[in-house]
Amino acid sequence: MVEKSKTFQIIGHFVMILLCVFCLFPFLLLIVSSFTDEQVLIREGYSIVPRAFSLDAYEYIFANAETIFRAYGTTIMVTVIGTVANLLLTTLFAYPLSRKDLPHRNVWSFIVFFTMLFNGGLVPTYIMWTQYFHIRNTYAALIVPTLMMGAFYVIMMRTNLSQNIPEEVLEAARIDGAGEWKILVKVVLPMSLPIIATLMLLVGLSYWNDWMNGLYYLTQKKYYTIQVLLNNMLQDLQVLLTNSSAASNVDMSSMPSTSIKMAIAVVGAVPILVIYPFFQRYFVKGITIGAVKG
Amino acid sequence: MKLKKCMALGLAAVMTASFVLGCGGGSGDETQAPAGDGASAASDASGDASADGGSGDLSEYFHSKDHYTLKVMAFGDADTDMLEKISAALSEITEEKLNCDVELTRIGFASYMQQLNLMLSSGDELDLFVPMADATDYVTAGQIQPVGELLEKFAPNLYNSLDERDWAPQTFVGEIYGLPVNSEKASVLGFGMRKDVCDELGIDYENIGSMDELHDILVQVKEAHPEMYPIVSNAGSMFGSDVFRIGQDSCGDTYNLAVLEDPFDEEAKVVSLYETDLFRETCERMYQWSQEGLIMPDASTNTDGCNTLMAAGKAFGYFQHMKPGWEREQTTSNGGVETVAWRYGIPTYNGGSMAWFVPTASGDPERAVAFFDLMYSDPTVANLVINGIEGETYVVVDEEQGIINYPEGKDATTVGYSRQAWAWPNQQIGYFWEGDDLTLWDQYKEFHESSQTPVSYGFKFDSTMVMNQITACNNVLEKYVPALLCGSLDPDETIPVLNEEMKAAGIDDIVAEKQAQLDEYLAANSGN
Amino acid sequence: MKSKSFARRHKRYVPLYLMMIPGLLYLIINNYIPMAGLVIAFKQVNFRKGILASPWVGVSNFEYLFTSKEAFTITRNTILYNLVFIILGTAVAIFIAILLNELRGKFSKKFYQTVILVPYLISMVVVSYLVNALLATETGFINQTIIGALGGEPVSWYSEPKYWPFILVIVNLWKQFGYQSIIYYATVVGLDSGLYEAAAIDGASRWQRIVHVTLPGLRPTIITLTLMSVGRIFYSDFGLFYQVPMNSGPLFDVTNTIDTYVYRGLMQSNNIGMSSAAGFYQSIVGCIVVLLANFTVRKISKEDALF
Repeated sequence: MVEKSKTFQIIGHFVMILLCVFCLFPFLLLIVSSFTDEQVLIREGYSIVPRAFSLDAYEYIFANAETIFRAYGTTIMVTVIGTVANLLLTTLFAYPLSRKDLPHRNVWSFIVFFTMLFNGGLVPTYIMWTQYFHIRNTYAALIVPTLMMGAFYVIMMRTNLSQNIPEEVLEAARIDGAGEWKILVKVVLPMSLPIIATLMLLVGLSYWNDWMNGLYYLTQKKYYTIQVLLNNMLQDLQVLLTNSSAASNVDMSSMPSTSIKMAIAVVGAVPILVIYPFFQRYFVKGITIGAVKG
Repeated sequence: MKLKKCMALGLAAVMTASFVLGCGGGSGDETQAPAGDGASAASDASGDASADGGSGDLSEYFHSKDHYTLKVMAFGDADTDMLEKISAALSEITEEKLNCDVELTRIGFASYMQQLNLMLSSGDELDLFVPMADATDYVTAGQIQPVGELLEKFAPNLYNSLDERDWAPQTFVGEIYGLPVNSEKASVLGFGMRKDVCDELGIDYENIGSMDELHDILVQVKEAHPEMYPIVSNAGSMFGSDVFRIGQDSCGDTYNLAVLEDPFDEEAKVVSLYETDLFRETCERMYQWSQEGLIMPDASTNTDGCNTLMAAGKAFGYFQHMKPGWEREQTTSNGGVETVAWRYGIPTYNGGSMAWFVPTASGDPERAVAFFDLMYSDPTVANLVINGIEGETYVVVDEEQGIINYPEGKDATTVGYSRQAWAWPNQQIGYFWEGDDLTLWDQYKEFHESSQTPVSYGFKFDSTMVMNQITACNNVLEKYVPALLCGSLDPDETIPVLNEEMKAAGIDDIVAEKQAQLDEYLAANSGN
Repeated sequence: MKSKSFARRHKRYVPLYLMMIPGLLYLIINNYIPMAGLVIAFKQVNFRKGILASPWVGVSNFEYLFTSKEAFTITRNTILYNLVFIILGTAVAIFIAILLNELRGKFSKKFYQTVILVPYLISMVVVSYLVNALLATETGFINQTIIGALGGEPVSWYSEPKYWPFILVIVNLWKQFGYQSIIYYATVVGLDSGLYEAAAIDGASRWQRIVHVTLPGLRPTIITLTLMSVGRIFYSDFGLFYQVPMNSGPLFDVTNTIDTYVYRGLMQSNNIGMSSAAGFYQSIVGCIVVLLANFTVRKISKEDALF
């Protein structure tokens, strides 16, 4: 039995390591290219072994260091506030839906799910948020539209709660005289930490990676998040490089285009990878607490 | 059940309300703008207004009205605080002349189209903008308003400096919408090359006689410099997407489906571009050259710009549309690799490709037009919008000739206000940039005079009736044409398939519709 | 009489309704009111008149989606790719979630969880550059290093349609599997540990435990996630089908989907009516398919149905 388990562990770890290589190899290519001299990159192509080390791409991106760090700050703020707001709304909405005794439960679920199927398009949404809530060129523009609550998260959580929280537990709490709010806070939340931690991660990632809200609702650069800034940089570069009339009086060769594209991806993704393991501690802890209580 | 019904009712009410209001924003503003009032004022003021330049009267006129904030938008990147400073400096001038403030917004190329579309579609307050695409769709969708009646009174300088021919490209369905920018008004096909290689191999680049001679030169280059591709594409595109792509006239739109094979042929017969000899010959030549290794591999999926490839020493040359000063501009773009050109086409007059527009939702089209005229005629204003603020975004290098450059230690990426001189109303009254050719504006004039005007000049194609066919044809086009023009597909095999699919997609309907509209246009305009 | 029982029946649930109010308001503002925009699909919009006053044009905005010869190809591609993505994606994600759960080693598990999420962090545009770095004919890693070392002939990847169904599936899997695995993993670790203990006491093997405890425990999540993907079966990831194949014409037979077709058809014109019509069509088909799928699930097991 022990022998068998050991073999399983070895094979299992081997499979996971292979998958990690599969995930990391292109990323490595990305990092190496971002540090390679542009001209060498164009002449000789991509390589996993660094050939001509160069910081040009990063120098270009960080030419306005102040802007970049301000954007990082905005991203962190938006991600934290957005994630908390999203989880608050999502949990409050999903818990009643997860209750099998809720009247018209299916109707409510359908109302939520329907928003995943149909949308009225960008223009009406834009009119709603800019003309009635005046969010253009505010930080709210980065937090409120689209992302603050989504049917996907609500339904995920509903499914998870209705499966993982036995009705007997709720019944017992009710007999103890606890009201619905108390049950939610004292019983349901502690028991659903794994899904909350997971959603927190997923929502946090989508806030971190979001640049659509910035694209639609911001015209002032000072509100840009890092992804909005980087995406604009990336796409502006593409326009400049392919439309020479747009770029009169700009020396194109001083813009390391290929390596910059790679460096932009690195600058956008690396902070999350640095933060993630720290966050993961709580993530895993949450899971064990949940598992013990359940 | 009851609850559901209430909800449904409530929702319906809110929906209708928001929609009426949401989009009424635009039409409300429209009625507010005194169109009739403006027109009548224009007609009775026009006499004395043009007599003494009109600026004093205009100032008086605007001071008798409410104060206003003009919202102006252009593409290019800018820092928020720099924009605020420039807007403040502009407002100081406009306060006196037009009794209004100016709020300048600039958005990078990448998101400009998207943001502009949202603003125009939602009826946001915006008074003046420069588009990045063909303006026909804005007219069709009712997103911009005609300004023809306002020009004489509110933009006297612009109005008096242009003749009738210049207004033709700005006219849609009989009304003037566009406020044209003073820039190059013609373009010519050409092939740009590295000067050092030309000199080394003794190539007389200015006097290449034909495409066959170019071919021999390219073969020579390939032998001498195997590390270079003789021809590269510009991020997947061989000839650019200009209206006169390979010498045809796209004729009233930018689709390149139904075209005039010869832009100057009086017969004005609309045909499918893909059935023309011009197209077949071009594809055959490219295919042959590509087989001989004269064109880079993967040319149609290449993601690098031609300038990047030139700077990296990977390219000898590329096709492009040219104007005076092209060589100098490209030499800078190619990282100092000196670039020369062979111009092989007929310079074709297009009347200027850039114009500014006033959105339907503008609260004050009169001031918008007047501010455009200010940017067009007042050097202080022109320099503010093009170059920003002296000492911060530029410094004067040569006072006498009016030459400027970036301040010490700054460059395009760090200065905080991107310079796109060609997009602003009048770059010719502003400063010269260091390194600019001081005789450039004279060369422009000569270039315009040497150019020929195509038969379809001023014609605009209304595609509403054949949109279904256009979407289908565009998909066929994307499937074959970029690869054909890059020489990656065999024309003998591909062109028949392409034409068959184009026929199935309904290109004949587009040709017929365009021919009918063009005939009508030509008949209406030949009388004058 | 009736209203009294109604009140009594609902009184218990007042706190629950209160909890739902903020979310409901948000959905109304962000989703339901803007749905009025669906009328755009049936209009020829003129903003000077306003959207409501613009003329109705019936279903003529939809015609271009069906009249073209490509209609069959793009529909087939969209549906087939989505089916493969759903089936393969779910299978791989479940496999990895269970594997992660069974493995020991605190540090290594954390490491795996971080690393498999890396591809999800990279935007499709950058993914397309990475794919290009691998596949470019001359400078690409595969032609240069791998095929070169094996002494094979370089492949012109961007003009060979036969490879692309696999390439697209692999790229999509590479980008998405980490994300999905994490979702399933959260469900696995949340499963009632009492069941596992009971299984251990019964002397169940690892395999029996997985089959009889873990997989049934995952069933509701699998059904929910699948139904949600099925609702979007007529949509496709634009970046994956447009940017990753570099918009290469010779590949269209296997890369053209409804979204890329609409984009290519309308990119030069700003025709909001026709683009809304495409969205409406995609939604309505998704809606019908989901209703059918949900109905079927309900027949089999009422609890697991989405609504």
